[in-house]
Amino acid sequence: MSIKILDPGVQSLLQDSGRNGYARFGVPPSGAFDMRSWRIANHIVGNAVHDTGEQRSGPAAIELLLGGLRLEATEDTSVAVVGAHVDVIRLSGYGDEKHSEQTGHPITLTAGSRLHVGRALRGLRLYIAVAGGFQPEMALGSASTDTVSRLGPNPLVKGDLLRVGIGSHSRSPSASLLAAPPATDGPLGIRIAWAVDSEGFGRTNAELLGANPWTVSPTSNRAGVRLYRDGGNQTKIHGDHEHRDGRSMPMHPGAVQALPNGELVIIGPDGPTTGGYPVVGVVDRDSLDSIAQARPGSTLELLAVGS
Amino acid sequence: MTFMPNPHNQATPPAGRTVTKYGSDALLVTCGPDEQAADVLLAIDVAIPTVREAHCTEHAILVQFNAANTDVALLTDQLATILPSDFATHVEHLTLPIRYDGDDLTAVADRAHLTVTDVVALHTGATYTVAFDGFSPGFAYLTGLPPELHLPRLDSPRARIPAGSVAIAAHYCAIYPSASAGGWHLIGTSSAELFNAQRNPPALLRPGTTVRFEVAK
Repeated sequence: MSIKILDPGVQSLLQDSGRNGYARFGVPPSGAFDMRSWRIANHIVGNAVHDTGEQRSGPAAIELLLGGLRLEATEDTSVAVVGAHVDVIRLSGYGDEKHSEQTGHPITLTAGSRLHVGRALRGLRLYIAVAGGFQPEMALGSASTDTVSRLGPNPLVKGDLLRVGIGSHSRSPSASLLAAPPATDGPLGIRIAWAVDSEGFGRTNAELLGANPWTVSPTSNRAGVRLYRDGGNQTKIHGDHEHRDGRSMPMHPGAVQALPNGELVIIGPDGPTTGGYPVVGVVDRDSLDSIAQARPGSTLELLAVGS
Repeated sequence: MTFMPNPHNQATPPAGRTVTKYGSDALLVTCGPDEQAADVLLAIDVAIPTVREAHCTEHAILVQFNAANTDVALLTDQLATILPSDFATHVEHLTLPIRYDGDDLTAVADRAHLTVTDVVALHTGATYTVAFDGFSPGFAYLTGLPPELHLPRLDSPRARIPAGSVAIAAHYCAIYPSASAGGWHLIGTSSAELFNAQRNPPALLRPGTTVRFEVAK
């Protein structure tokens, strides 16, 4: 059974729970940026989820940026759309009748039915899971697309025919209760724990917190989310920020680097595994899932979590 | 890989070794001045196989674990005291043929007040060790570059360095596994396959691997 891509929208990538065990070769974990939504989408369609660090990664879902995805099922199946707030339309039958569908619920697609995912009004990323999971070729134990190093499947294009595994018939409508991302109108609160950098960034904590709120830059992507302070970069975080290969430190997604121009970068799933700029803190997985939904121009507030 | 327990059974950290929290599910090990992080990493592989992921830079190792089933205090102790000398770990040695045809080779010789022949002799005369991989898959930072060839990065990085380029900057030598932007000085070309996702392990140059270069025939 296959899913045909009629339109990949702004960007559609296959993502599962990512690669594990290859960071020492310079390979980032990749995987779904908003793991929470990815997991929920898979639960709704009855797929068993393998989390990061387990032997196998998976199952793969489509990570859609902003919206516009259109797909067609070649056989009867079930899908779920979870993440940003968006309109979903199902077209089925000989007359291509349009039916409004909800995110966070199982959607039945009969053979030949199409799904149109609209443009996100709030939030940034959507996860489209199918019963049985997508099954592209694996690279280093994962079906995830690394947009920086080009490992894994290519970004989806019109005409792609995606192979799908055999799904169970169980559906979890109750998972829909967990599906909606928290709606916030004010700055998104991001919990940051302080990494004790050997260069002594202890006093930076107060400076970073005092610099709230931060704005998400449009240059953000899966490699990293850049934050800047409104009103320019007059306030630079005190310390030595020159890039030094000799003082490179290992990193994982969620690590927060301080750049010489006053910006912060939160390392994303496809981001570099080592870096020469100081790491001033680490955001937890929960916060990283929320950051994956933060639109450029939106604001974040850093909240200290212990030390 | 063999484990030979320390007969003195003293669990004291080696000089300069520190272990600090890196969020809630990782620990950062900073090595002492007399240690190589790659050696400690290989020892961790043998002694603490339950960690989820571990990788290093020249002087630090990031150890990630599943917080739900890890005794963090115990893990912290183990990372603080583990001694590479207690373990026999296997490292690979490679000799790579290089065509010394890099665009910056003459400039490097000039800055070092040497001839190109001298630079090639110095470069091929050294034994290098992979301190860590980073920047991109299979990109290895090699230490052991002769001090005469230590140079800061280029003032203006190149937009595109071809795959296979052998380059130097600071106290490192590296080979670009794939084309990318970069600010290192290009001294030669290697035809070795640095990274192949279908190969196990996928990277040719791994932490601890030793390398020598020779002039390609």
